[in-house]
Amino acid sequence: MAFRMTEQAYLVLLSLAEGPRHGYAIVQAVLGLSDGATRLGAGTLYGLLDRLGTAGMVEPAGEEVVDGRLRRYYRLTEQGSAAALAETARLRALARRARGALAARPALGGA
Amino acid sequence: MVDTGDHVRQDERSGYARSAARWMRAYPRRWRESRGEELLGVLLDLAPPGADRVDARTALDLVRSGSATRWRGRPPWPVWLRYRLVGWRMPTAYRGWARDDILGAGFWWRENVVALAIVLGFAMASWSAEGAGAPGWGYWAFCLGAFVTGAVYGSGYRQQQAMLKHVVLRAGDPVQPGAWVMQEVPRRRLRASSLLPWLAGSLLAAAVLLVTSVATAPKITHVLPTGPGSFETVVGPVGDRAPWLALVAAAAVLGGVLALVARRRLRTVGLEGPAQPRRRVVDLGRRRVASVLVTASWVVPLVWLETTGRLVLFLSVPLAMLVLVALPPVLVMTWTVRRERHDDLAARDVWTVAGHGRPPLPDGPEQRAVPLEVVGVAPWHARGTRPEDPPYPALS
Repeated sequence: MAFRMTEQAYLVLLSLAEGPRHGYAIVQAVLGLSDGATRLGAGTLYGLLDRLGTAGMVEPAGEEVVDGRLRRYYRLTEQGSAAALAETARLRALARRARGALAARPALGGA
Repeated sequence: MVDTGDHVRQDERSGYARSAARWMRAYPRRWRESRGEELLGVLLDLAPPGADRVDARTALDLVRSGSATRWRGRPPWPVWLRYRLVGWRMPTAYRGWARDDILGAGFWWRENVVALAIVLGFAMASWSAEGAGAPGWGYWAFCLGAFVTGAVYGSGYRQQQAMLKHVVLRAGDPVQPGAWVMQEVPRRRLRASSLLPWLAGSLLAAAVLLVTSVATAPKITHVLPTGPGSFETVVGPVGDRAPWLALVAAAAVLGGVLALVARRRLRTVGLEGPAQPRRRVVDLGRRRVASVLVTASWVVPLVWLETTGRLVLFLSVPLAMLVLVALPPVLVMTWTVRRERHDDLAARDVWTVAGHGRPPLPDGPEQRAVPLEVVGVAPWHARGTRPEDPPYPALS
């Protein structure tokens, strides 16, 4: 099944761009990247990691136990980096077209 | 903004973790085994301070994501139908799904419910077509009884057979995380102090009921000779009950003699056996208790039917004889085990001594399906082995 790039999946890929992170750190990074708009639940996060893992975009990168809690780290694969870059390029192109469309609108009348 | 997530105090963790674990049951068993601990860690990190249970939003998120994970891991419909209806072996890619299905609660019901629905559907259709009306409650009670009896007897065996067929590796199968192999393990034996009281109690109850039936059942089938080499059968009152009661009494006397023999053997041979390093003594467990009770409870409708004259006196006589032959020796064995406080004794040993008059023998191991301990960590999203993987990992 083809991977469908959603905004949440894109944000997870971006959160791993700096380096490997564990689940909780990904949630925090996504919160920061989305300026507080996307607060991933644990279930949603692991659904995304499953899909991204199956698509070969992320992979586990070791684990550690902190305060009795298992933390598994994930990192981007080359394929994941490429997907994030492609999505970024798509969004950049979209933003450029959006600016063009908005610039071409007729000036609003009134005072 | 960055939250360390360490605000769930140790004493609060257990309540929250228990609540989270309950909601995590939405995920498939194999997923929980490989990644459940990790998900729980994140849930605990994200938990608000002082929370002792999962809030509604998180619970909904877990149920939604867990169901989606189940949905993604399911076999396609044609494969599922072949597996469920015809019993085709699950393809390698869905062996983990099959393992969860087989080991999950209610496997026997899932396996049979489709067949049962088809049978009942045809039955209902034919009844309504002939205008005979719905079958009476006795029919449904019998069906339910047969189904429950099948469940308590058949489910364990069917589960083992299904594991052997779908999950246990065969020659040429790729090795995957979650695969099972046949391995020699200590032989499981039922604990005597766990089995014998249930057995004795059930036999005693059955004996009381069956003897009551023999003593009070109103009707019997009479065989009347009508000429040389011909006869007819007529249902009528029992009349002289003495021969039937005498048969039952004779069985009870035989049982008493066997009990004396068993008692003498238990005293002279003794219950001390050799060391049993290849044995694991287990308690009866819910399923086996249920099978003992279900077996015994079949006597209740039989006795009711015979004592109310809905059935002729027939089955109660041989059943009462069987039960009365078995009951006294079982009572002696139960009493001996209880008196001598042999808690680690297998019921098998008691039977060897009391039934055969020889000391217990050491058990050998048995072959059972066990999870394969893969050496090294398999990738959590692995779908099969890669060419460079060893062909068959060592067992730990």
